[in-house]
Amino acid sequence: MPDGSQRLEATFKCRKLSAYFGDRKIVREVDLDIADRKVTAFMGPSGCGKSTILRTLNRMHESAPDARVEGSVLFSGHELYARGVDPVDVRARIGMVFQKPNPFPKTIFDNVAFAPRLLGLARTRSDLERRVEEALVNVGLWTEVKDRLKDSALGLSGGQQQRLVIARAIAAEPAALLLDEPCSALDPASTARIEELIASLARRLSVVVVTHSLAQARRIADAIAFFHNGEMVEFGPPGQLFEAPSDPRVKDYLVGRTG
Amino acid sequence: MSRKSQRRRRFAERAFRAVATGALVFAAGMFLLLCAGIAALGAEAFLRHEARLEIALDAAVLGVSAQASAAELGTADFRAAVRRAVAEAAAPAADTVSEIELNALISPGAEFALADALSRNSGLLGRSITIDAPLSDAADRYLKESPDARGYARLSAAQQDVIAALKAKGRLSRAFNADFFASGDSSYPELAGVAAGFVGSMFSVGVAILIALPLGVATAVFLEEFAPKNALVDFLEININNLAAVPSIIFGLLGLVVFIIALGMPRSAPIVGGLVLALMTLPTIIIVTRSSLQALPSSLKEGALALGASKLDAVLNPLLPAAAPGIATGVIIGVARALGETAPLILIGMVAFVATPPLNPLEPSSALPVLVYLWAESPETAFAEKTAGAIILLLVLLIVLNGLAAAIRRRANVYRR
Amino acid sequence: MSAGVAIDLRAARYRIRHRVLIGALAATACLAALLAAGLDAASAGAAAVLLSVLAAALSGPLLGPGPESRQRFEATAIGVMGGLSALSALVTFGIVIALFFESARFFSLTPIGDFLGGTVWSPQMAIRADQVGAAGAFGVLPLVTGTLLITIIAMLVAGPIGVLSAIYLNAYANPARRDAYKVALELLAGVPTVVYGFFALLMVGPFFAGAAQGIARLFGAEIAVSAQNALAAGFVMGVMIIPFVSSLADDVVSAIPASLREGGLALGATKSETYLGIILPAAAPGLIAALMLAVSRAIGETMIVVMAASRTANLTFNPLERVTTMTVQIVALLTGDQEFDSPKTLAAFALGLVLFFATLALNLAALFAARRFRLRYE
Repeated sequence: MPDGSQRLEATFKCRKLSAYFGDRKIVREVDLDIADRKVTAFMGPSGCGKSTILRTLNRMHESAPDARVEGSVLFSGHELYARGVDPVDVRARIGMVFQKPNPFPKTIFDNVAFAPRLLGLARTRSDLERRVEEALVNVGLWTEVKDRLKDSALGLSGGQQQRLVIARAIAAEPAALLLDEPCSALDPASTARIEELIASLARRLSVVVVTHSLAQARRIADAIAFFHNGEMVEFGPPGQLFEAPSDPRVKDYLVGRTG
Repeated sequence: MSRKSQRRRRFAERAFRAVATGALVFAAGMFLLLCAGIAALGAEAFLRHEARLEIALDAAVLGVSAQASAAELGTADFRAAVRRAVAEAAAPAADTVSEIELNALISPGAEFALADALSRNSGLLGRSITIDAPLSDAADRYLKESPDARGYARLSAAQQDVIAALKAKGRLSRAFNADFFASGDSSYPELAGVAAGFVGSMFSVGVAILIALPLGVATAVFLEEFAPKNALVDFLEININNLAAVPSIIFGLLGLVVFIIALGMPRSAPIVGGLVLALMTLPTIIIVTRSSLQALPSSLKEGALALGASKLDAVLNPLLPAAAPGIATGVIIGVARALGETAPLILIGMVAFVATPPLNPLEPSSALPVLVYLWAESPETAFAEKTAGAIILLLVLLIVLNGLAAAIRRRANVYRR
Repeated sequence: MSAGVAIDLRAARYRIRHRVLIGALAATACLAALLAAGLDAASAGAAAVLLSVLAAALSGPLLGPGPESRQRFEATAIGVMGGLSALSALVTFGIVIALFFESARFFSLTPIGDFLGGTVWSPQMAIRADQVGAAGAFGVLPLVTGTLLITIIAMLVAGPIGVLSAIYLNAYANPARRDAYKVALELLAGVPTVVYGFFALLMVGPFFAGAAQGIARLFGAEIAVSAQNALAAGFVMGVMIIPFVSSLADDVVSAIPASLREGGLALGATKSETYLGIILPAAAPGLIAALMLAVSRAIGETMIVVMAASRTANLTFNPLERVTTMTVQIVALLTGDQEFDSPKTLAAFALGLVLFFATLALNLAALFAARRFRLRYE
């Protein structure tokens, strides 16, 4: 991995990217460019491979048994699937948030401090505390939890938990953040807060979000990639995709015939 | 459907239910019977009868010179002094009793106490001291079983008169038997205690945990998280499952051959007992650790991996701590089983007669359950209550351990299969 | 928040790995010291020195900077864990080899045919090594029949009671009561067998002997029944195994999908008809596996029979007679001072070998039956 001290252009360039579970091909030769400091949304009917392609972007896909990837992903110009690249290092730089909030059964503080401790980001205790606070402030959770940092994270509400795991992810100082349907398990109020958060995060890092909701994609996305059966069938700014879809499968989806 | 067949079906249903209920009641009943029997017997082990005796430490009676040295005091006839004290206390009933009969009423524990007192303070020689002397096992049993009955086989009528006289003068009391907890084994039932066996058990179980816990957890983590799926690993798994069902006595044979005959480790030592118990506990710990790891949601591991943790990092950090309550429960249950294990310890020689508790795991020792076995087999009836007493102690330990396991499970049932 | 990806990951990984390695080495050192202390102080010291050298040698390549050394470290750690896992296999091999080795010595003194086919077991005849023909008689058959007799009695008690109580828990008990019973069963299963032995020796044995004599007297016969009769030992062993059977059977019965049960009830069958006609047949393979494991336990159980059965061999199937078992004889042959090369001592290992393979066969059969059952319903 590169070691330059300048901020990287956190762009993804996927070329002929395919992903498999055993013999089943879930993602089919996708070519896709993701811009830096923008929100890119992945959409499509259930089982279209949108979550799988997200998981290939930080090499999480291969953590499952008999999962396999072909093709190439260039992250700020560096091949993620090159020989000698350790997926562990990739994941430290490209964060991921899952559909269901997955706080560790630890205190709120220890959850957010997990990555700084693991990656040795903080040199001192006060530095660590500063980082935790900063991450929690960034996700708008600080005022709610600052008096109970030593309580178990499992005691938080669903929406708070999801913001906590986002804070946990950004405390690792990633260059890009991948979110897999982050709002699907949340109520509308919590969803609105997460959407605001995504918009503010995109000022600093690249955000890729898988979503089921057309409205959400319209609200937050700078670009939308539409998938069907593992293929990317349409890619463009939301206006173009919603107003004048060129692919009939996208049209069907938009009018609710599939998905 | 005819009414008759309906009635028959209803009867069959009720009969089946009654039989099934009966099965459970039978099991519960047997358990209650076992508990009641042991409780009734064992309660007496914690109490014993003592006689308050004023014993004159007269040099002439003791058969030593007035300025006796410590060495000379070692040869003193304390029995005679005790005997005289009893005779005086129970006069005139004691006049018709022979010396041997008098000796048989008071435990040698009284003599040991006198010797002890004198060795600590030789100035006592020539004065008299008052002690609560434990009665012998025969006298103690006599008082516990039939305090007023005549014709108790192990005591003569004259001896019974002496006891009656002591009782009439208010010399006899029922006291807490501290020796039962503080002493090692003894050939005198009234002096025998569980201390040596208890310490031996603690050493053995301690060694077993030290070995089995790291080994078991490492094995479980490997099999659960890192092992490839192949025939060798499959074989390992079958192996562990089988090992959990191998009779404990086989582990005793293994320990005897490997640790004692081949490696020349000391016989009767808790370290060997601990090694054998470790091998026996190992499969339990492996199986429990694996199922605790399996019970964790996969999102936990994914979450850690997505933050840049390697698989090993993830196992060490969120996974093992999250599985810890489950593992702890399993370890406690394994320890409880090891604590009650008897047969393998007998084979490696932990059946020795041990009067003083071992100071380290290398010294010859007994174990609590082995003590139960030894005492149960001994012919003196007074040992029966000791056995039951030791069993009560053992069961209390096990109930405490099980309660601990249940408490851990209840407090931390975040992830449960 | 700084947006750079120029994160130096090395220092941290180093620290974490360091802690792990130190912990692992400390644990190993403890272990080695314990093991070595059992032998002598010199080897304890040698082990400590060896470990420190090993730690020093490993710290370079495994703890240095860079992803390669991290990968090497993790590969080593995983390899060590794999090695530790193999230890469990080593235990089994250790058992087999140790028993084979000692048994071979026994069979060089006593022909294997005499052992397996002999009907007389009296090892106590071998008092003096120089006596001609004083090797004693080592016919295992009376021990096998004794073991079988007691096991059969135990299973007659534990089998029906255990399975029926599991059915009660599943079919009739409400959840709160079910939990209470399960806790009680767990406790009961934790009672050391030496306690059951005492129960048999002091209470059940004399009670059965008295009862048998009383019944015989009713029919005008006067019989002598020892308190150490097979019936008492088998009965108490059965009581000991009840919680074992019951909890295994409960697992099996609860693994049957609720749809089967509901299907039966929806057809208008009573609970007993559903359980006897549908659930039990479906659960049969699992229940058989449970019972096989219970038999394996009964065969290998030692303390109850050591305390409640006889030490003298007796080729009989009369439950009121005194019989002995293989485990009793192993204990009898190996207690007290003995030389490790007399046939009397070595015979214990031959018995251990027979016992090991008998239980192994039952365990494996149960394991495969249970696997097949689980595959069907999970």
